[in-house]
Amino acid sequence: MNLSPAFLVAGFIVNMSTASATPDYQNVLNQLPLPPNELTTLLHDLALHGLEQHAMAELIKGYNRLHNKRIECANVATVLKRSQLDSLKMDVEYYTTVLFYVDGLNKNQCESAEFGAFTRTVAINYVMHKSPRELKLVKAMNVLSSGRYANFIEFEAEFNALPETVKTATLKADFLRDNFNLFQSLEQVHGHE
Amino acid sequence: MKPLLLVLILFAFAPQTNAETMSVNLTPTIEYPVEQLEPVQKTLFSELLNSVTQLGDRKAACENARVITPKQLHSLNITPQQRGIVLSYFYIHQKRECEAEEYGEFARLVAANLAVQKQSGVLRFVNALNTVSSSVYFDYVETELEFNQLPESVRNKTYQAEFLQHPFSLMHTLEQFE
Repeated sequence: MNLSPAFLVAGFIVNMSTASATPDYQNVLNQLPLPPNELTTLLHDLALHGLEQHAMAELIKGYNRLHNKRIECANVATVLKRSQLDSLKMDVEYYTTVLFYVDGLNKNQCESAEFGAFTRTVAINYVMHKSPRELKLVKAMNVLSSGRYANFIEFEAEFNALPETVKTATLKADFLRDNFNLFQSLEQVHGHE
Repeated sequence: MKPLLLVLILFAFAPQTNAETMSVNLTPTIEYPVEQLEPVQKTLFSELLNSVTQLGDRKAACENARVITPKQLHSLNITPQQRGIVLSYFYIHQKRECEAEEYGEFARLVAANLAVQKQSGVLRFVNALNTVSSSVYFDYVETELEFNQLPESVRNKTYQAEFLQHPFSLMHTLEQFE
């Protein structure tokens, strides 16, 4: 398995490059998540009215909440120890796959409420906006926010290809169900090799 | 998944959607050979199709023939114009509550698919599914804004009215006032 922090960073850069196809709103994307007091200014600059303005405001608020929550979820202090992984009696070569998959599950859980609220507003904004300019902004915010679920599906597929004994041991391990710091844990686990 | 199956799924779902408040032109239908998609795109698309079926089933289960009587509405002491806004608001609100779990999963998969799908045909299909399923929520935003502009005393009375707190048939209720 070739997963590493660099892989995720590369994935993020790919996502950013997709979003950069939105020149009209590049400044907006560079500012998000926005401080609450700047929301009014942004909406004024977007010059939307009525329902479109209301829906866009909800979308941006949801985007802010999701990304603030995502930062909070990533900054968890818990770091797994090599001895904890060793207690699962699996081959060391599976550790990275297991950690990426379980971390994906934990992060899904951690941001579940905010992601759910955000995707509802995404769905409505896709129906509501007719102008290509607004649709590009909606799409860019969605790519930046929902793209990680494509990574998760890849992690899940790799995990599902592991031996049954490894999967069973992983899913039974209580210490893996609590959100942990992925990169510090990877460093801790592989630092002993 | 064969293209024919996609078409059947789309038509099977459409008649159950927002039958009382809107109609959606689903022609021309979109056909796409799913087997040509890359693994991640294929997985997300398949999950979306499963989700839309579950949402359709849930929407059907949430349909309710209960009629709110003129006597019940009279007890609110509101104008005919306010009555229309109140009924529309609570009708969509109850629908939303009833299908909240299934719609939440559907919206999550719509967003994920719109973020990662690359084929224009698939994107059009996902957008069409979303238009059919999310338009009721578009309506809700508009109705909610109108409802929130009603006098506070009217809103408070409606929230206390037990007969508005459960699913009902908007069409059959409104028919009584024609």
